[in-house]
Amino acid sequence: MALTGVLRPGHIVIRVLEMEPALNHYVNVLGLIETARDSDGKRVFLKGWDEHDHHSVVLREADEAGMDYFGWKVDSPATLKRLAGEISASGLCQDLEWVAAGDHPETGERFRFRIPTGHLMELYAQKTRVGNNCGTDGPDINPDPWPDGLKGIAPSRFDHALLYGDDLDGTVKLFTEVLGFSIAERVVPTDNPDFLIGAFLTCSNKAHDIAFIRQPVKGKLHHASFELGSWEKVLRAGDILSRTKTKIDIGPTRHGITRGETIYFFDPSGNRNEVFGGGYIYYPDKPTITWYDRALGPAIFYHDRELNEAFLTVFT
Amino acid sequence: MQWFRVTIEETGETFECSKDDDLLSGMRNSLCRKIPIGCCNGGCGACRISVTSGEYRVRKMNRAVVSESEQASGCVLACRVYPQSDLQLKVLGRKWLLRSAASTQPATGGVVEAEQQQTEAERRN
Repeated sequence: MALTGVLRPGHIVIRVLEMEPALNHYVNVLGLIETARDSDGKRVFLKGWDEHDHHSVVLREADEAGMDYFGWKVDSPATLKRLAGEISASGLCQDLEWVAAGDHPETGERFRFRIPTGHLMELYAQKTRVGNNCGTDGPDINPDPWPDGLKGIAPSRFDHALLYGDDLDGTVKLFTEVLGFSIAERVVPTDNPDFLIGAFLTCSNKAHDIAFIRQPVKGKLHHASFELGSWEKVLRAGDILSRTKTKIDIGPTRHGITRGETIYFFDPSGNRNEVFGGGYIYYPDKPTITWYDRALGPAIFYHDRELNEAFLTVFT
Repeated sequence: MQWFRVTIEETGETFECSKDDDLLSGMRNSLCRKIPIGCCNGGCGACRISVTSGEYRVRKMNRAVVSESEQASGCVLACRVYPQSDLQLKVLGRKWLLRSAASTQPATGGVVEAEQQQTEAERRN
């Protein structure tokens, strides 16, 4: 296996103010599939149609919007133990703890840690495979390209998140030197190329699996992003968002960073979502792309060539 | 449908809002743009206002941007307020502002500065 260690984003836990409108948004408009909920209804577990593991998005009803934590799937229990030890030894993280198997349904034990930008992250190795319902002669046997019964926008998967926080240097050091990520793209000042304003990090062949922008805050969520296969599907998502009177932040447009096609929009608690198509394939020998701060406009919104006010000021 | 008149104290601008619409939607349906528009869903705090007279009902809003005591004193998010009578309000805006992400200096004290700016803005109000 060439892709080892941290495999991919595994789950994101999003706080919502009211569960019922949140479920309408994430299930009927966005088109995720519910796989479980707590008996008291306080957490609901969802996944994209092409994700095989039990869940990738968890909604938790709370008094504040934002992100509780972000989980990464690693390749094996041995890697989980090794990385837990290396995170501890790095001294970069706080609030280290093991979360028992079963705290998330159908999920093994998780190692949790708070990174320098204030976000809680987790690693885990095991989650029950429930499949993508495409097989015609049993799971993963002679599959159709997509399953029946999809609702709404229907992204294939939870793809990545963009997070805001202050100690970007510490977080990037952790992800690159301890967790094995690469910097696919970065934003720096023209006159100070060693000072990171933004870092777009990958653990895979994707242009980014997580991104951070330096802001004087701790632990904030800018957006959670969901994958669509094409620009045409992004345009169709725009139609669905308008038809359902979902508040669009910006788009459909293109990002300079990652080249992805995008719409930013808001869930009923003000958490920003994105649907994302395109982008390029990343290999570890690909050079890091650099954007200067004076080109931040086209880096973020390639067509408008300037940031909208909400990009920097609206987050949860 | 029942409609109410919403007046922004600072400028005297008014717009109509139905009792089934939140104040921010009512403003967005008018030509008025005095209240800042953010997520429109009770999360980001951009549309923070102080209702100075009139009756209204509210939906749940992010406690990180409006505390219980603030809400009790009439500080609310326009996107979560539904008028039950004519209303008067003052525009407060978000509790904190961030310096540009493109700042070339390491971020230290940006939030504190913004809080001071906000305090000054409230004093002017």
